[in-house]
Amino acid sequence: MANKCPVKFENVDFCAPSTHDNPYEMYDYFLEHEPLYFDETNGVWEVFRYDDIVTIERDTETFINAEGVRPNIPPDPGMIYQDGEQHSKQRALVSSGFTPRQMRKMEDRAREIVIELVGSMLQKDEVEIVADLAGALPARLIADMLAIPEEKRAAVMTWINQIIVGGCGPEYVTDEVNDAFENFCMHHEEMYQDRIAAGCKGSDLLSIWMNAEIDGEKLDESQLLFEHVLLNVGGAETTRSAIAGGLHQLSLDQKQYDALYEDPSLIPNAVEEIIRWVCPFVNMYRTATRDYEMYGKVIKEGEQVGLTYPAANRDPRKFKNPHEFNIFRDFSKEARHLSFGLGPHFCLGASLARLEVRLSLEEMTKRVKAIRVPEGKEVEYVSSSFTRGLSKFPAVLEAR
Amino acid sequence: MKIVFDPSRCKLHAQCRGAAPELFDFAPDGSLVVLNHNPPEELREAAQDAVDACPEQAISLEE
Ligand code: HEM
Repeated sequence: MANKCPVKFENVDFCAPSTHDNPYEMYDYFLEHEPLYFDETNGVWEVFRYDDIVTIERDTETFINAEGVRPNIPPDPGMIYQDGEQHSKQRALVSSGFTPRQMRKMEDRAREIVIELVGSMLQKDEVEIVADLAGALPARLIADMLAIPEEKRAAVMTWINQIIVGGCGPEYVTDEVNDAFENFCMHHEEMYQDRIAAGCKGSDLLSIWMNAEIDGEKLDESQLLFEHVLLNVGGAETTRSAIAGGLHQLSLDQKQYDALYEDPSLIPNAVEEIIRWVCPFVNMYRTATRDYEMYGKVIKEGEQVGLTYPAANRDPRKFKNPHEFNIFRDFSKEARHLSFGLGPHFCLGASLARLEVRLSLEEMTKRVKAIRVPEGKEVEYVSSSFTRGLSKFPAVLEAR
Repeated sequence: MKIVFDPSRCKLHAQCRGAAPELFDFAPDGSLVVLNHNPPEELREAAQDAVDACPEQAISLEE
């Protein structure tokens, strides 16, 4: 692979999934030598440095979402593709469901689920942490918030995981991705009809969207559909990656794992370090509304620029020993990670994601003394230019 | 209860708006604004969350 090359990275195709397999040597190269890069293959720009991402995310007049947040993929009616007031209004419809207050109300129920999942893992000689805990927890919580019928939950997750693959770029929107999307649409239609039949009285998020009005108008069918897709896409694989990746890093460093058991008050900081380190989204794109000069180059009006979050999270201008996983990292002295983005589109589900990672660490450290990958087995990684994380984490758990 | 917001400290992390969307949002020019400086008592918890969430300590509460 290209990133064995010690000096220069050229002709990098940022949409190719394999480009982001073990990408840190490549990101380091761009962070240092070419902080603004034009990817000829896809006709899009990429930025890497922490301060550059912050500047672009804050300049919402110059850099907008309405032309798309994935490379060369047109926008849809979901909130992430809205700007300005329309965005605020669309987001406000559900934002009260994701506040820290709301999360405190959900905490007991979420903890019960974690206790149950950890308990079932402890019954087994060997577990697969991605499926058994890291994937199961966020899938269950989102499905609960949307009130997805029990028997459909597994299928919905499979479709969503497929749909996400299409976020890499137009050539990755394969037949399977389209099929998964079709299936999701049918599922959405069923949920929609069920709610109509029930008088739309539920407190689930889909009912909330169905009842909501913006300036006296209800959301139309495609807005409903795409908010529904977005919530699933935003909340499932990302949180799975954070939980699995965090437990994996901790399994490699018994001292840090033990520190969390001995002093659980360290866990919230560990959660931030995990989310910095794993960085479940590779990037989001913005489109320039005017020519914009940076580093002596010009991003032209209408061109897209990718915000490479995992590179910014390892920017040595901000983070001490950025490639070191350190649950004691002092974010107030260094910088806050950019894994959740910044500005008006700052992740809606951040409090939920943090809660899920925290509860997973609390319950695992309480009941499990050590986690190790069994002899002859290895963890496997997602290969994608949109999402990052573990797809398999085979493990043996040593109970306390 | 009164929300005191110091825009000169604000770096637009928007954590307040995540914690209390009833009380904070972006203005059309991209700056953060307080939607209600004197919120009702039932939003005290929300306001306190926003104060706690701000990494720049740009928000405080007065009785
Ligand atoms: C560790 C887990 C997660 C990570 C790393 C993550 C990351 C992100 C990022 C980078 C953005 C775009 C921010 C920007 O453009 O500045 C985003 C937006 C969003 N996320 Fe998350 N996310 C996570 C979990 C969740 C969860 C659990 C949900 C919901 C259940 C969720 C729902 C959303 C939604 C709806 C948006 C669009 C918000 C908007 O456009 O205003 N995310 N997330």
